[in-house]
Amino acid sequence: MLTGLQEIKEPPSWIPEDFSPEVVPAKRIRRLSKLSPITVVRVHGLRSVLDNEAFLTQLAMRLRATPRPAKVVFVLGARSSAGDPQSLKRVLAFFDRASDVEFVRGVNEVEFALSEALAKIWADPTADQEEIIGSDPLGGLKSVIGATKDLRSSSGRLSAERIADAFGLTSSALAVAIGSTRQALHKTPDSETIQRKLFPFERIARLRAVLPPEDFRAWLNMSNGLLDGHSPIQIIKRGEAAVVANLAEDMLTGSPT
Amino acid sequence: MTRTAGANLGRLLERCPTRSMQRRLVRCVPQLDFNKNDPPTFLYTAGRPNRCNPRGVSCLYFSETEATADLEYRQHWRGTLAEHQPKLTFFARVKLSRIIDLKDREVMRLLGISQDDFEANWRFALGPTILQRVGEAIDSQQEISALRFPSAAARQQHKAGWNVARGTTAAIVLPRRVLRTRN
Repeated sequence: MLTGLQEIKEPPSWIPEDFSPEVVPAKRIRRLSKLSPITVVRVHGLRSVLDNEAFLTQLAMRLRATPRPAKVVFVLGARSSAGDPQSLKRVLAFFDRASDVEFVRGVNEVEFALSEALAKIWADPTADQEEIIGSDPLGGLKSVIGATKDLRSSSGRLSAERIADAFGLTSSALAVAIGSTRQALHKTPDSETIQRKLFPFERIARLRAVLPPEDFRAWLNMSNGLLDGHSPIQIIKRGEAAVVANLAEDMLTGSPT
Repeated sequence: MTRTAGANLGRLLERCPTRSMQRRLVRCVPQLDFNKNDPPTFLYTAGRPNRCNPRGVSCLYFSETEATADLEYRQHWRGTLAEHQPKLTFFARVKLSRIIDLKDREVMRLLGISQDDFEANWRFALGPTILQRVGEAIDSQQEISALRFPSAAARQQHKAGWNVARGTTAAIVLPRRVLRTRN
């Protein structure tokens, strides 16, 4: 999304074509329920932004309503002052997610700034989990909870050992899939630090509420048209368990695709 | 995605022809303890991406007919025992004043959507697809409340079928009285 205090009719040439942002006039910000994952704000300088508190307030309110990860990138004019820390701080003070706000000076830096923002969004380790943990639609169903009970150790945490067993994976394969090492998994299979990485596996294993264990294993190894003909286990092994977890939840909730 | 499609979806939506929809919609789910969950919040995508919504945008999907809902269900469970096991069928009666109908070629042209977009695999897309961006644009405004698009599951079986994706900006609470389950 591209917005600014001045009228913008079309995305300017300095916006990389791949981004193809929607242009939203400043006055329409209040009509949005939330912002896009990346919002570019074109302004002349920090003073002009600070002179428009209403605009900043609306922008900050919409960012608050936008699920993480999301970034707001202010593109300042090339001739604007470098920006003293106090002015930058005054702008950031409007946002309760200041770390999601970036500044660049001059349009020459925009392409790199957008690539950086996009990379940060993709690399955000909480991206997949936050939205699920925050509103887990299946987490309250007894049958679903029961289907994954055996994946937890006596500590109540997910166990890499038990997950590897349920999925027919070796410790090494599971370690590669979650970006860990076989030694680390062996030492503390239910380590606190790997819980987030194991959560997609629990979401996938919820299918056992419908499928018997042997049928679940067979499904994991079957070619799947919804995964471009790959089997779920192939996708898991290449580190994309979250993709399979989303598919499993679509199956359990009957979501048309 | 074409440049046209990506440029100003919000504005393009304002120019898009719309129509009303008043009908019963259908969705099939496995027979779990879902029917005890009232209201059935699990029907929302809860931020999961789907064909017409990117990650982070919650949406509600239904099929237009029982036959299409059944094809969607079977597509997920094909090759497993669950394909032929009893399932729950949810019905929702909707009355929508403005929807975008992607059966309309003029709408498709205006939004820069091609036939391939309805079948392309969105699960591995590096960024939001054109259909997901349209869904996001619908979710970001309050005039248009749903998107009608062809069912890929039906098309794979060489049948015609349609699905409806509703955004969450408009009030879409499912009152108990209009939602019924049937075995």
